[in-house]
Amino acid sequence: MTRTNDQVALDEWYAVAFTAEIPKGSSETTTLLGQNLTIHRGWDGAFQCALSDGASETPPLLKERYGFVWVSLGRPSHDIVAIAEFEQSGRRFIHRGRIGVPSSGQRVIENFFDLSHFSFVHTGTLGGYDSAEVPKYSVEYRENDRELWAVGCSFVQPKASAAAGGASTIYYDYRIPSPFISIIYKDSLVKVGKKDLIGLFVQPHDEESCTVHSFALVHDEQNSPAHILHFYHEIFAQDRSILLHQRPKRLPVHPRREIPTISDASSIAYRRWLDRSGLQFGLDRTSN
Amino acid sequence: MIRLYDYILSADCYKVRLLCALLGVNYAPVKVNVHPGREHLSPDFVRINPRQSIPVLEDGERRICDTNAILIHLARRYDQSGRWLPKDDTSLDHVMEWLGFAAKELDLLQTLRMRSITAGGEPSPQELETAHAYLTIIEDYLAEGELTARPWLAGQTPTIADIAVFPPAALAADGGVALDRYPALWRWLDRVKRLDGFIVMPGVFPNLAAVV
Repeated sequence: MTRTNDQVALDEWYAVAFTAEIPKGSSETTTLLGQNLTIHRGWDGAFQCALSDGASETPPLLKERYGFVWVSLGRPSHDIVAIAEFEQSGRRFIHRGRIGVPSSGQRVIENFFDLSHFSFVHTGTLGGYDSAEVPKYSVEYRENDRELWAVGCSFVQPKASAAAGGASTIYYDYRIPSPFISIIYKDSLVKVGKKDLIGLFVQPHDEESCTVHSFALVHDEQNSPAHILHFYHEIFAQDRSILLHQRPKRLPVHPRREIPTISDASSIAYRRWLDRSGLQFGLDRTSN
Repeated sequence: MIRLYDYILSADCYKVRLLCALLGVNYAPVKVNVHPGREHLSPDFVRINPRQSIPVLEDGERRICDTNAILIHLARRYDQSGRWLPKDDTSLDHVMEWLGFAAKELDLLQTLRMRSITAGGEPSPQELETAHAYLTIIEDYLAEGELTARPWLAGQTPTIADIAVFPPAALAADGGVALDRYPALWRWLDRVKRLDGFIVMPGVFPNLAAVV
């Protein structure tokens, strides 16, 4: 596989492993942006990253954060996304496991914050045939255009989380702080006024395949971790079986490739935001 | 009291959930963290099932650790109609053949699917060729059945053979095995989806004829 020469893609931070999944004294090989990597964990627990096929080059940058191992192949001008809720108490951390998707990372991110598929792909949990309307929400660019937010989203959800007892209207915000990361801040059904977080850290292997690392930070003392995990895997596997069939696998960003409706506002904003970022990797920039 | 050790993304567990739904059998699920927790490989689970596999069904004093054996157990004990595990020689021969095919040959489809979902990689050309050879066996059998008025795998009525073959076939695309060239298989998948009491699992979508 060939490493991309897209500097915009190279200068990002990517989660490439969950720390607890690599035992001390062992290694794991993986691929990021077409570059084969070896992630090694020493007996002291510390992680190192080396290029599998370029031993003479300087090793990639590596950091541990939020329970994940992060790598950058370039020289990022910014730190890994700040998620303040990891510092707060009261929520449970759930590692949702890695999920492979044979499509571009951007397809995964776009699907994550799309509201209109809920009723038809997650029927009975995140949506229903009788309540398919997407209420109006707004889109904002924050942090000098570094972050994209869809705020004031709401949806009638028959079973919004593992803790849900019945249907309710759920309010939430989506944050997209990098082309390959999205975090949802969603009403807790357990603690009124508090938010649950679900985050996707996408590791693009190449332009048309990726691994999704993900976590949840939830207010839920009742359900077992396995119970919560089954709920998330049900949702994610439904999304995955839809993503498999989306063509082209690279996300089109040219306006002539779309016939959007008003409920697609966040998706259109994401595509325009990707377009002007200069990113090439994983995108289909052709106009027809 | 029936308990099912279950994982939401397991096609084998879905076979059991589906038959329970069709028979109207209630059970209490015990949710196992197979991915990423690998709880089914843990010492605690080995005491439940030394084969380290799911599903496991506990029905009163009985504990059954094999998918086909669970389907047979449920049909024998809870199917008053007797149609899900027919007793006549010809039908029973077919049922047993297809149960074996589902557990042996079609295990490849389930392996490819879980490997792909857990980010372990896509099928090799050799694996794809073998997977398509197995699907072609089903396709040819069903296409012949359409000409001889045999709509189900074991004859005139659905049996546990259909329940054992449906999940790996319906979910093949999740493992990177496209179903485009199997029209008779598609029509049979749809017949299964129209059964009274049919339930889905992630990756299996319902027949929406009554909805849209």
